[in-house]
Amino acid sequence: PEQSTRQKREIPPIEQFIRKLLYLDLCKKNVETTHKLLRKLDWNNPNIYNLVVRLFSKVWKIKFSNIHLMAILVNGLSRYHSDFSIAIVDSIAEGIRIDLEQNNFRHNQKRIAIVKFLGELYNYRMVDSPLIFSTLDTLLSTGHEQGRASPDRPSPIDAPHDCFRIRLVCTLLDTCGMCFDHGSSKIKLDSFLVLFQMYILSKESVPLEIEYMIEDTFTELRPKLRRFQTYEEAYAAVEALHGPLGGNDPNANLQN
Amino acid sequence: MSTKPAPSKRSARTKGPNRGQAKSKIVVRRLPANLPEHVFMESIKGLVPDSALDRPTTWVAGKVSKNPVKANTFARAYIYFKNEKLALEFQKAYHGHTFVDRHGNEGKAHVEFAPFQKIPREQRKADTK
Repeated sequence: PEQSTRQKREIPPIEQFIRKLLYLDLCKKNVETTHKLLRKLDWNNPNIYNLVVRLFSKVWKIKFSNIHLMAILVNGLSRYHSDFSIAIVDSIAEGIRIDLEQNNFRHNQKRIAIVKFLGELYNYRMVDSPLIFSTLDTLLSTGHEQGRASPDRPSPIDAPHDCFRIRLVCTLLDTCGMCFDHGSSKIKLDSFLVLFQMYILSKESVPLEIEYMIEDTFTELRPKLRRFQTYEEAYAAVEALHGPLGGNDPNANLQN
Repeated sequence: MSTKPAPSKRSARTKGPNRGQAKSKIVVRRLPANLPEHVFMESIKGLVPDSALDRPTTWVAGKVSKNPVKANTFARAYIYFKNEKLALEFQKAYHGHTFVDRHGNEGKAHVEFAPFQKIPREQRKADTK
């Protein structure tokens, strides 16, 4: 059969250049030079500006272990282009939201990378802890009635056998959870972990691989924590903590 | 799926980069991928007088995917209100605003508080390079 050859998209040279800088060459040794080169771009040109925002938002294109380098670059560029760094965080936060709503398994790898990037942006002080906690909350609550997962009320976008969100939460906590070890963020993390356990227990079953991941995360963050065994137990703790309809009482946290 | 922004628990922040600031940055999400910026701006014009804004609205264009397997990317916009009250009024009026394109596809706008409330500095520092 006759088939027209697929037209390849012509990528403008400047985009090819930045793509090469970020997606191919970026490594520990050349962060500084990359940063300098990026500063030399014509930032007042809206096309270039949008291009850089777009390429930075596709953080899954670079090696997973190099994602923190992107955060370093954002941090460096934010000194001169605060609007740029804010646009990046906005698009990362939006990406996490939209992927939760669509829950397309093809995007799973991409979603892990985005969440990791958010954690690294926290580590390099581009976002504050409220955003991390609100993201963690969104990860567990989206699509669930009153934001609380329950085995009796399965959500159409988060099926009882779908454990991918657990993976996302663990990735985020593994990246920046260790920073929440004192003061109000410690309390917030403790109360989140209660919610997280309830979420885990609302699942039909958790594959061994995910179970190990959870185990690792808990051991790293709160080694002495005794985990809940049943959903009912966890649910009671959440009610005691947040009240029946989502009030917030951090003092009820002492039972852990 | 609840799309209304949760009532702010920290209306006046005590620390962090947005110290003492209520939530005032709004995101309009899930706009049709092919919606042009000027059409959107026209649609909010009556609801958002310039006097209510802290700085100009940021527009993030969507993308219509050429590959039928891939989904389109929604467009979105960030609106920086002067205070939370103005933002809430806008949310009430505009949430669920429907756009219909040439082919009859509908798109409903979702209006929420932006998860990241930081607002860009007014003037850029000149980069000496």
